[in-house]
Amino acid sequence: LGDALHVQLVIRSRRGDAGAFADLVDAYERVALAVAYSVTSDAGGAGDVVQDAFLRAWQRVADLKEPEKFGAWLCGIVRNLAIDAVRARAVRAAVHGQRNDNGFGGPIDAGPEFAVAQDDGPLEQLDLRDRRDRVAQALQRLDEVSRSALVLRYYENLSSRQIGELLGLASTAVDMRLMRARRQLRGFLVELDDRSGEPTFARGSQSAGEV
Amino acid sequence: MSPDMNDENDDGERYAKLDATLRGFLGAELDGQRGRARTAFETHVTRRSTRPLPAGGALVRGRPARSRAWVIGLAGAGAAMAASLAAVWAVPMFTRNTVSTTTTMTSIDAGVNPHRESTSRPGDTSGQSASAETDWRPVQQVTRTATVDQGLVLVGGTAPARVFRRVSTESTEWFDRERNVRVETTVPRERVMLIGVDTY
Repeated sequence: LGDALHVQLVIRSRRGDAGAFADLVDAYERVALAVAYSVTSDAGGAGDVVQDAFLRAWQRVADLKEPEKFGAWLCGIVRNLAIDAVRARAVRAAVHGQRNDNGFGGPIDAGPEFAVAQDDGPLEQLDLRDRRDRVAQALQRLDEVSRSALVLRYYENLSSRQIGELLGLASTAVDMRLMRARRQLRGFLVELDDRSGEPTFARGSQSAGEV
Repeated sequence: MSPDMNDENDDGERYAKLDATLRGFLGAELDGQRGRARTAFETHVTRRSTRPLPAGGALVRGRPARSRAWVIGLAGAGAAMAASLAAVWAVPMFTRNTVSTTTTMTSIDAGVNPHRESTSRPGDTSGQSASAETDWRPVQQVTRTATVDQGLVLVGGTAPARVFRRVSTESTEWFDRERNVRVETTVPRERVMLIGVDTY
């Protein structure tokens, strides 16, 4: 991200080269999804936001002064749109009496299952869905910046320096946040597993009563 | 091996498991959304390409020549009007989470005036036995429906579908001619529909 090739793509996009911008969409889509998901905590909502964000970026790319900062600029657009979307959903949820913690999702969750195999039985699928919900719940308990850093690291495999450039943080601050976030996340998962009484992946192969 | 080293190894193993869990979770959550942005962008560009646009969709800067100013002004006004009309037409089609409400009223028994005041209390008729002994007829039915567009979801991780939640109450007014009693029953219903979305 942010290398010479991408800078060239940004410069060409500023001149109206739609093909170059389409390549930027491919290059930055995962980053944008990670940032949007960190705010919305909902994959479908993040997809909507990213779609809108790239269209908005295309309309404004001619105004971008520093092509090498395209990533950070795009992340700003994504984050703002995601915050707007969460607010709008929260208002609608309040009006329609839905029980949404984050403003997205609601009682229907037809999103992709967490590693569900086609031949899994209903109990296995239920168990996997429970695990997925617990990870999502634990992630939501982190602060937004730490969550963004964590999602960018684990979804897009970015270095601390790259994450720092996108989020406007020093790489040491990113390292610190990642370390804390992992520790917190493990704690949250253990706590959630204790409540549910289910065996946990957060504790490795140990059963719930062994720690 | 000392207990401390054991703890360290356990910790390493637990964090490795946590890392693998996070990667698996995020991949399963977000990979289904990939490709949407490019498709949307290409569609946007294709639609706009019928009318040549300035670079990057940016506005043309600088002052137009005086002689052409009025032509541009006129064209601008026309375009603005067309855009307003298009927006009025398109907004209901593309707005997500819109709520549409409908109320339908059906008079079922034309021989009975549904608005006539009853002389006895509806509470006098209690339960099925009363209903069986008397001649209850439906007089009027009112259905109130609210439909909420809840946005897009991916069914099975691959098939995009739009979720519509339809909540309705069906109120039926019943009348017993013999005892001149009217009763209203209300049945709430809720349906969730997934409508497949064509991707292009």
